[in-house]
This record gives sequence, C-alpha cells and structure tokens, in this order.
Amino acid sequence: MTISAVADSPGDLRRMSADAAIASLYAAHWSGLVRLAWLLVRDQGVAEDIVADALIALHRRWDHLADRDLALAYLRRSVVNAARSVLRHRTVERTYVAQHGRAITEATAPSAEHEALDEVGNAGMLAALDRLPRRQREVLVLRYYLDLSEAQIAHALEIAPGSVKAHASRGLTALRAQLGADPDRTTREDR
Amino acid sequence: MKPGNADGLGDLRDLRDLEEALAQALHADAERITPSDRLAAIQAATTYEIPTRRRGPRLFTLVAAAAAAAVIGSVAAGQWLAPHDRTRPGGTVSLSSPATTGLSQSPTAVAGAALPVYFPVQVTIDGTQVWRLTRTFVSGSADAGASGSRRVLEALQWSASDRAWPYPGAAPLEGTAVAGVDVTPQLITIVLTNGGAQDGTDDYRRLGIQQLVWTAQAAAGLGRVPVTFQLETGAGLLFGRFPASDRYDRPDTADAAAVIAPIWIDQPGTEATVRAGVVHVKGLAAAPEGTLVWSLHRGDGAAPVAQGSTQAEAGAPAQAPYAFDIPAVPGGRYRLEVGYPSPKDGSATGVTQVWFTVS
Repeated sequence: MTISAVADSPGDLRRMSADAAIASLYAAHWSGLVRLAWLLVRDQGVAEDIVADALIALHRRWDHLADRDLALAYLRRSVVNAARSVLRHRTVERTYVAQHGRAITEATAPSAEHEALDEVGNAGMLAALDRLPRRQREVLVLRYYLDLSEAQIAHALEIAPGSVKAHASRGLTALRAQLGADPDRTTREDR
Repeated sequence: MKPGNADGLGDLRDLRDLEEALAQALHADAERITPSDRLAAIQAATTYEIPTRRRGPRLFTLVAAAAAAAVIGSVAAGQWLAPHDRTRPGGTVSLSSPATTGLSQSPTAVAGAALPVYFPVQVTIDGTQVWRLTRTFVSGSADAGASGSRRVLEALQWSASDRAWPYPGAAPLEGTAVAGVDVTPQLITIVLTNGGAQDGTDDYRRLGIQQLVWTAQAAAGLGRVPVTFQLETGAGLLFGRFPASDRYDRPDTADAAAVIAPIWIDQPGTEATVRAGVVHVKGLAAAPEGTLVWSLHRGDGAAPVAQGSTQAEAGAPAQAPYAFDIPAVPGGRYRLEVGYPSPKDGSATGVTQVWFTVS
C-alpha cells in the first residue's frame, strides 16, 4: 500500500533537524492530534500524554525515518495505536472493578457538568458512535473528524483500503439503526 | 469514500444527513477541550533523552557516587552572539500543572505554556540526608509562541521562588531574584540581583547553580547550551565562591546521580489540581531493581490513606519510567510520597514527595 505525501505537513520536513521538525509539527498539529486522541479515549490528560509520547518517539526515530513527508501520517498511526492500548487497559480496569466492588466506578462516573453538557446537542450521535465496534469507530472518527481519505485511514490503521470502506459502511449502517427509524428527525435534532 | 456513496444505506439524502450530523457531532465534541501547551515538556524530554514509559533502552543512565566537584565546571568558551532576546521580569507563573489538568469534562484551558522547573529536595538515602534536584512542570503566563527568554525567565522565577523551598533553613537562592535572561543558541545569560547566600557547604551552593542551569536549559529547549551569570551588584562571585562569568553546564550522565533525586514525580505536578476519582501517577526512577513503594497522605497526616508498590520499567542505574493509578481518591489536599525499599532494612528510602489537590 502506498500513500501520497501528506500535503498539510508544515514546511519542508525533509531538510529539518529533529528538533525543528517536532516544533513545526507541534505548532501545526498538536491541538488536532490531541482532539483526535480525545475522541478516541475521552480523557484530555491521557490524550495529551498519547500525542506527546508520539512526538517524542518520532523525534527519536527522525534520523532513520524512511520518508519524512509521512511524519504526520506516522503520528496519526501512533496516536490511534496508543489510544487502542489505553482502551484495552481500561477494559481490564473495568473488569477488575466489576469483580472488586463499586468504589472506582463511582469515582470515575461522569461529572454533573459532563452530564449537563451531554443533555444538549450531539449526545445521541456520540453515544451511538461509542457503541460501535472499535475499528468502525476509528474509521468514522478519522473520516468525519479529520476528513482523511481512504488511503490515509488505511495507513493510519494499518489495514487495506477495501477494509476501510467496509468498516465505514457497516459503521454508518449501525449508527443509523441505533439512531432510530427516522434519521431525519434524530440527526437534525442533534445539530 | 465520498459522502453518500457507501453501499447498502438506502436513500442518499438520508445518508448525507447522517454523515453531516456525525461530522458536526465529532467537531463539536472535539472543540469541547482546549489542549494545554506541552511543547516545553516535549522539548525537555527530547533534548535530554528522558525516556517515556514506552521506550526501550534507557539513554539517560545514572552512575552513582561521582565526585561532586566534577559536577560543575567551565565549558569551552562558545561564540558570543549579540543579545537578541533579553527579557526582564514581568510575567507571573501559576502552579497549576498542565500535565495533570485533564479536564475532559470542561473547556477550561491552561493558558500558558508548560515550563519544566528544577528545584532542590531533601532526600534521605540509606539514613543520610542529601539535597538533590527534582523536576516538575508548571504553567507560565507565556503562550507557546513566546520568546525563549520569556519562557526561561518564567521557569527561573518559579525555580528561585519560596514555593520551591518548603524546608526549614535558607534556600541557596534566598534573597536572590532573577532580574533578566538572555538566550541565544550559544549561550544563556542569567542576570541575578546578587550573588546568593554566602553560607552553606560547597555542594549545597553548587546545587543552587545547577538548579538554575537545569531549569534554564530545559525551558530554553535548545540542548545543553552553556549558562553564565551576571550580577546586578557588580560582584564577580556566585555564593561567594564560584566565578559568575564562568560557563556552567549540567553534568554528564555518568555524574548525574550526584545532582538529581532518585525519584521524580512528574504527575501529579506540584500543587496541581486533579479531578476526584482515579489519580494517575507517573515519573522517572533510578531505584534498585526498579521496585518502588508509595504512600498517599491526606494533608500533613503521618498515616497513609493509601499505599502500595509498583515497578519501574528498569532498575538503577537506569532512570526508568514508572506509572500507577490510585483509585477512588475523594476531594481534599494530599501528599504523595514515592521511594524505594532500602536494601538494608526494607524501609522506604530516597523518598520524593509532591503536594496536590483533588477537587
């Protein structure tokens, strides 16, 4: 699978030192990547950790990077992989809580502010998205938040472009099913 | 994959509506957070090869018991560039830690950039009290685009402040303020109001210099740029002993153990406020076999309200990452202590502590 150079990479990364490249990528993409991670893990602190670690790892590999034009694509892949790892850990944690009592569950329940925010707009859509299988959710977030192409999503998730299309199609179908028989009413109401 | 061309979804208008609603929901949800600025922390980690928790070989190894006299020395004179970025004091530094402001439910943002700050802590290692440097991240008022001098000045102001010295007795920099900073790629010049305290041992006063050197180099993010000093009093000696005009550097890794504390707590940050619930703790440790013990105390309480042990990714002499979670922590002010079991008797030694608030 090949992927074209990332058009929105800042400056000419090929000639930059590792320090300059990381500073440039940070300036251009830090917020976007943190928000991507946030959409996947729902914890801002963890999301920032994930992206910071990805940048540090990229800095370490910079001199050996095969194609520096793909730096942003590598970062996205790192972020998605790390988010997946976090979610796996979280699953283990929830299993532990289920077996050892209620304390942690109560402590990590959404705050009143969070619940209040969820009462307004988009809540149904996001809740439905959260119920999708992990791969479908990742594809839809990369497609409809970052507006990535099939090839870019395939690169980020390390899957075939055909699989991207299949996951997107199944994800949208499942979303529509979850949102009810009248998608006009549900989706427009949430805007 | 364009909107409306997925298979099996029936009416294209409905599909387009669904896609548009999904895109809007995701963008609205993403905009709920404002990422804090961590450029300084990232630059510090990359500049000094501080390992992250997912790293393999440890590049920043510590070798114990190097002679303290070798820690500080003049470095080869570099080329002086005309000052281009001199900054005088003026900003303020808050103590909230960007690294721990995971306000996933609130759009509240940390306005300033994260600044790495080093300060001395009293550490007991096998029954002997010693002074070592530890690191935390604070939020300055300068944003990410601020000049290097502004960021360095803010970090130094915090480092030299009373808040960095919660111990009885005079701090090495007590009565001394940072009056200005000049940063070039070849040299960092720190202007102090005076030469600092005249008492204390040489090792103690060397740590005061190292505190400023490590903080300035990390906040500047330019690597091991030599640091020199100017004193507004016109005097020529720091702490009555060390030439201010010399160029100072942090020690090589082989000598770092004589300067830095064996345990660093990066998160929660000093005086950070975190949400009630699971408190995430992480940092770096150079502990025998990587075994760590921790205890959580409410306020000044001697008895821990929670305690446990954890494992760093590698043992000393490597400085390796560690991380653990403390579940179900209710609101209040806390003191977290992290150390390692003494090889002699198993008691906690090399303990570093951090104060934070759970809200």
